Amino acid sequence: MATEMTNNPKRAVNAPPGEEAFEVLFEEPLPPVNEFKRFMKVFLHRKVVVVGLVFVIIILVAGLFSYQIAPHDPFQINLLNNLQPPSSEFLLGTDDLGRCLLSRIIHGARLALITGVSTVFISSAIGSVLGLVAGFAGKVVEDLIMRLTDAWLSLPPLIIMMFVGVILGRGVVGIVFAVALGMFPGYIRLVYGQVMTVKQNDYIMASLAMGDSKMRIIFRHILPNCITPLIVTMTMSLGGAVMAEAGLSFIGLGLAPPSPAWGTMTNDGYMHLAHLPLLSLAPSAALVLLVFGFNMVGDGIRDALDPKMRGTME
Amino acid sequence: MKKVVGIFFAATMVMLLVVACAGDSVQVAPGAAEAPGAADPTAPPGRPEELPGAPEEAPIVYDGATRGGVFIYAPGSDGPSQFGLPWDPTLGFASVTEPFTEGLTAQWPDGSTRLVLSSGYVVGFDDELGLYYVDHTLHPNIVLHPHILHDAEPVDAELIVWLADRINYYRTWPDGMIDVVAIDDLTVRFYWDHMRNATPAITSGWVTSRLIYEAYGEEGLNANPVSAGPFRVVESVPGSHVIFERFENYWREGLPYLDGVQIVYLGDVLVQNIALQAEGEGRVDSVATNTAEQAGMFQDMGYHIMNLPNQTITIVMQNDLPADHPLMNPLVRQAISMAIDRDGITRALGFGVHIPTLQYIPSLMRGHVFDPNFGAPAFNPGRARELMAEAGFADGFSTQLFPQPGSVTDSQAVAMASNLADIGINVEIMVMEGTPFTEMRRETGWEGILVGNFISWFHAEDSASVNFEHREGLLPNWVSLVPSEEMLELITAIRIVGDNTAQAVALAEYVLDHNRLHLIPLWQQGRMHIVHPRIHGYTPTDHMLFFYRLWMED
Amino acid sequence: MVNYIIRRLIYSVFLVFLVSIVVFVLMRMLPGDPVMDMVEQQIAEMVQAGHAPDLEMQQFLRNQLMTYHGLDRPVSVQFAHWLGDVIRLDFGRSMVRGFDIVDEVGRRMVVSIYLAIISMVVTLIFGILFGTIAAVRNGKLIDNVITSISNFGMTVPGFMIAILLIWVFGFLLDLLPIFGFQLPWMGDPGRSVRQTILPVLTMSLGGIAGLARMTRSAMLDVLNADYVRTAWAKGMREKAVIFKHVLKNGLMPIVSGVGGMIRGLFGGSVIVESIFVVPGVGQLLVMSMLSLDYPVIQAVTLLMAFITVISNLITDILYGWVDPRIQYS
Repeated sequence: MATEMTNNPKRAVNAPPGEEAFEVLFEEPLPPVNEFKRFMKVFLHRKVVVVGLVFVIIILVAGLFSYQIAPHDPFQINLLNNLQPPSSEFLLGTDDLGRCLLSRIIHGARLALITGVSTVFISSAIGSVLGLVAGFAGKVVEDLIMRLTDAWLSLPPLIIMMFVGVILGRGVVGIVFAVALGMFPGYIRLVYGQVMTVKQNDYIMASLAMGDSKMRIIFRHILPNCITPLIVTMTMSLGGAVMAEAGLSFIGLGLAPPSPAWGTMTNDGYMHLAHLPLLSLAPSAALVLLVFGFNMVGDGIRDALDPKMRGTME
Repeated sequence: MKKVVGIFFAATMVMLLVVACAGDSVQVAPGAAEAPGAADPTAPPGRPEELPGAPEEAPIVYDGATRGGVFIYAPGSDGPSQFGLPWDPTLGFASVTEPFTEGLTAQWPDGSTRLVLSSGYVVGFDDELGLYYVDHTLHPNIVLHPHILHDAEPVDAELIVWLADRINYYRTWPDGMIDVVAIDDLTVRFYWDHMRNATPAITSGWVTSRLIYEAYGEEGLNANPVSAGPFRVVESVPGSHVIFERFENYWREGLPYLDGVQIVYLGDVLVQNIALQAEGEGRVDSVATNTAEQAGMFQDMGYHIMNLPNQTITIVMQNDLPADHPLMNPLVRQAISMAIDRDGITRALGFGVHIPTLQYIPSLMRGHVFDPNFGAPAFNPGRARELMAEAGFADGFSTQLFPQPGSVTDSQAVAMASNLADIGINVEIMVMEGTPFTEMRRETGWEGILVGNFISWFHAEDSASVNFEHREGLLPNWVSLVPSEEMLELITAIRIVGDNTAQAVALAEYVLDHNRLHLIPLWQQGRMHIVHPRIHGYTPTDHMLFFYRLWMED
Repeated sequence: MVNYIIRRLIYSVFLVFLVSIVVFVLMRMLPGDPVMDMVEQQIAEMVQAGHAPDLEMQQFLRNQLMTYHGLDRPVSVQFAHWLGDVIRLDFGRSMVRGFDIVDEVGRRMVVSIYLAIISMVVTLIFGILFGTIAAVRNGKLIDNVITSISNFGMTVPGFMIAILLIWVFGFLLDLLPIFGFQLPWMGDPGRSVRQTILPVLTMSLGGIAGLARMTRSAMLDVLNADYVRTAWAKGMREKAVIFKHVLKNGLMPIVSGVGGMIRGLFGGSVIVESIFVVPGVGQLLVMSMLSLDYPVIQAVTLLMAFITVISNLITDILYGWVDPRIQYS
C-alpha cells in the first residue's frame, strides 16, 4: 500500500475515499470456496443492506407490475374530484387533476427505474471506453481526455444539467443523457485508474514484452480487473442518477407532463404542502426510499466483492 | 367555488357598468379645452378620490395598523433593468415602481388617464403650426428625493422638457409627438400631429435628476435612483431585495402613512405561502402571483385577493396551413371550442379566480359583450363529435398542443388534452421554455394548437393594431391571422378617438365568427395580489394602483 | 514541495482557462437570445407609445444591441476580448441588469463565503464527532442510530431538506425567519444569526451525514490496525488511544473528503440561496442563467471553477501533510 502510494500519488489523491479497498490482490491463490454462497453471506450480513434490498424489490415489483397493482388509471382525469384527502377509494388522495396519487406513484416507479438504470449504463459505457482509451492511447490523447475530464468536473453541475436538459428536450432520452453526461467523468477516472494500476504489474510488462497486442491485454487483463469496481460504482450511482433526474424534474426541466415522474409530482404538490402534505411528501418519500435502497445494496455489493472482506465472515 | 365565481362575475359586471357610465360624468380639468378643432373626447379624470371606485369598496377605516410600519411586498421575480434598479421604470412594472417613481400622469387599468405630478391639462389646436397640443400644469413645490448633489431639487417645466428630450435621445418619442416646450415655470406644452385616446397619458416618463445626470452621466443615475414618489431607495440588491424609506416631504401631517416599503423577491412558492402566514419577522404583507392555485388557497383562508382579469387565455391555430389540414376546417375549430370544458377547468384549476369566457375582450374592458351566447361555441362534447364526423374526421387526428409557459399550467394543458381526446383529437403536450416559445410563435409554419395569453390589452385601439394588424413587413406579433379587407377596415375604424366600444365589438364579432374562429377564448385571468387581512386601504380590483391607493390619501 | 505547488498552480490556471472556454461556448449555444428579450421590451414600449414597429425596426434594434455588447463578432474574437479584459480584472457590466460585475460579485462573495465557512465548521465538528462516536461504539445502539440516520441523510437531497426545514421551522413551529439574509456586522446581529440557521442547516446536514459515515469507516479501519491494538494492550486510556492514534490516522481519507465538501458547499449554495433569498453568488448564478446574462455567468463560473481547483490543491497539500508517506514528485 505504502509503496504504491509513493509510486502513484496522483491516483491515490484523486480516488474517492475508500476506493483503495477495491484493489484486487492477484498474488495469493484463493482457497476454494463457493463464491456465490460467500457473496450472499457477506451481502446479507448487514441488516441495513437487507432493508435497502427489500425497498428495492418492492419498488421493482411495483414498476414491473404497475398495471396490475395500481388501483386506478394514473392518467384518468376527474376534475370534479380533485385535491381530495386520502379516502378508502383513493388511498393517498387525488392530485389537482383528480388523478389517483397512489396509482401515479406506482407507475412512477417504472419511470424512475428505467431512467436510473439506463443513465448508469450509458454513463458507464461512455466513461469506460474513454478511460480505456486514455489509459492505452498515446500521451497526447491521454492528457487531452484527462484534462477535459478535470475541466468537466470543475463546472457547476447546474450549468451542465441546464445545458443538456435544454438542448435535448424533456423526453426520457433527453433526461437520461442530461444526467449521464453529468456522471460519466467519474467512470473515466475509475477505469483510467484501474488501467494505470494494472499496467504497473510485472505480468503486463511481461506480456507486452512478449508481443501481446493491446486489445488482448485489455480483454484478458484490464477488463476483468475493472468489472468488480465498475459493478460496485454502478450500483452505488444508481441512487444518484434517480435523484438527479428528480432534481431536474423538480426545477422544471424534467419529464414533460403527464408522465408520472416522482420529481415532477413533488414539485406539483409543493404548493399544497401546508394543507395536503401527502401530495408532495408521498412521491418524495418513494424517491428517498428507492435511493436509500440503491445506496444500501451498493454498499452491500461492495462489501461482498471487496477482497479484504473475503474469508472474514466465517 | 362556483358561487364565488358567480359573485365575482356579477361584481365585475357592475364595476364595468359604473366605469362605462362614469365616462360621461367625469369633470374636466381646470381650464377645459376651448381651442377650435380640438376633438377632445377624452374626459381627463380629476384627482383619484373623485374617481368612481368599485361599488363594493368599503369606506377605508384607519385604525392603528395603517399608520406607520413597514409594508413588505413580494412581487415574485424582478424584471431586467437598465437603471440600477431591479426594474425598468419606463416599462410595465407599475405595481413595483409606484412607491418610488412618478411621472406627470399614469394610466388606469382601463387605459384612461390619471394625473400624478400634473395638476391638470388643456387640450388645444395650434392653427399656425397645424398641430394639436396638450398643456400640463405641474403641481407647485414638487421636489425630488434628497440626493448627493441637492437636498430638494425642484421639479419644474424645464426638467420635464429635459426628460422628454432625454427619452427622445435614448429611446423614442411616442408616435405623433412632435415637440415639447416649457411655457412657464410650471406649464409644459406637448405638440402632437394627431390625437389618440391615450395621448394625454403618454408624456415624459419617469422624473429623475438632471443634476446627477449632468455631473455623473447615465451610470450616476443608475447608482443614485432619484424620483419624486412617496418613498426613496435606501438599498437595492438585484434579485434579492429593495428597501424604501419614507420621503418626508411627500407626506401630509395627520394622514395615514407608512414608514417604509420593502420589496423582497421570494422565488419559492412555499416560502411565499409561509411568509404570508407569518406574523413576526419573516412576514410578508402582500405577494403578487400569477398562480390561481395559490390565490384561491389564500382566498379560502380569508385573505384579500386583488384580481384584475385583464388577460384572456385563448387557443390559436395557424391560418395559412394547407387547405385540407384538419385545423383549417371551421367545423373542426368549432368542435375544439365545444370540446373544452371551460367551467370544469376554471373550477378545478382556476380556484375561483379564473373566469370562463367565450370572448377575448376581458369583462373590464370596453367592447366586452354581456350576452352569454356571444362569442365562440360553448362546451358541448356531443355536438363536437358530430361536427368532427361532419368534417370527415370521425376517427380523429393527432396534433400538438403548445401551452404558453407562465400563462398556462401543465395541469391545465393536461386537462385540455383530455377534453380534446374525448372528441378524437390526440394531442401531444409540448412544454417549451419562454424564449423558444416566443420565437416559434413569431415564425410561420408551426403546426398545432397554441394556448396562452397573446392579446395585449391596454386600449381598444392599440390592441387592435398590435394584435390584429398584419401588414406587409409589420412585426407579426399575431402570426397568421391574415386579415381580409373587411378586417382591415374594422381595425382602421377602431382607431378613432373617443368611445370605440362599438367598433371593438364589431371586430370581436368578425374574429369570433364561427366560420373563422381566429381565436377560441377559454378563460380570463390576470396578475393577482394576495394581501394579508391586516392591510387596509386596498381596493379589490385595482392592481396597478395598489400602492397609490394604499397610502396616497392626501 | 514548492515546485509541486507552482506546477499545480500553473495547471490550475490552465484548467480554469479550459473551463471558461467551455462555458463561453456552451452559453452561446443555449437556445434563447438575451438581446432579443431586450428588443422585445423596447418593442413593447414602442407599441405602448403608439408606434407600429416592423421587422426592420426589430432587426435594427437587435443589431444595435448586438454591436453594443460585442455579440456580433465571432465567438473566438469575443473570447479573446473577454480574456484580455479578465486578465486586467475587468469583468464588465451585467448585460441585462447593468450592474458592475466585480462590485456585485465581491459583495455577494462575502455573504457566500461567510455562510460556507459556518456550514463547513458545523459539518466538520458534528460529522467527525458522530462518526467517531459510531466507530468507537461499533455495533452498539448509538452506532446503529447514527449509521441509519446518516445513511438516510445522505440520500435526501438538499432541496427536500430545505422544504422540510421551512415547513417545520417556518410553518409548524413559526420559530425562524425563512427568507432574507444580512451579514451580522451590517445590521441587527441577532436577526442575522436567526437568519443564518436554516440555510446553514440545509447546507450542512447532508455533509454531516456523509462525513459521519466516512469518519466511521476510516476510524474502524484504524481501530483494527495493529498499532492501535498494541496501544490498547499497553493499557492506554480510551481517550488517549482515540485522540493520539485513531483520530490522527483516520483523518487522511476525511481530508480528501473535505476537499470535495468545499466544492459541494459552493455548488449547494445555488439551491439554498435561491430558496432562502440569500443575496450570495449562487443566487446571482441562477438569476443570470434565467436571463442568459452572459458576462455574469462567465464571471461566476470562472470564480466557481477557481474555487474548485484551489480547494483541490489545498486538499492535496493537506493530504501530504497528514500522510507523510506521500511525496510530491
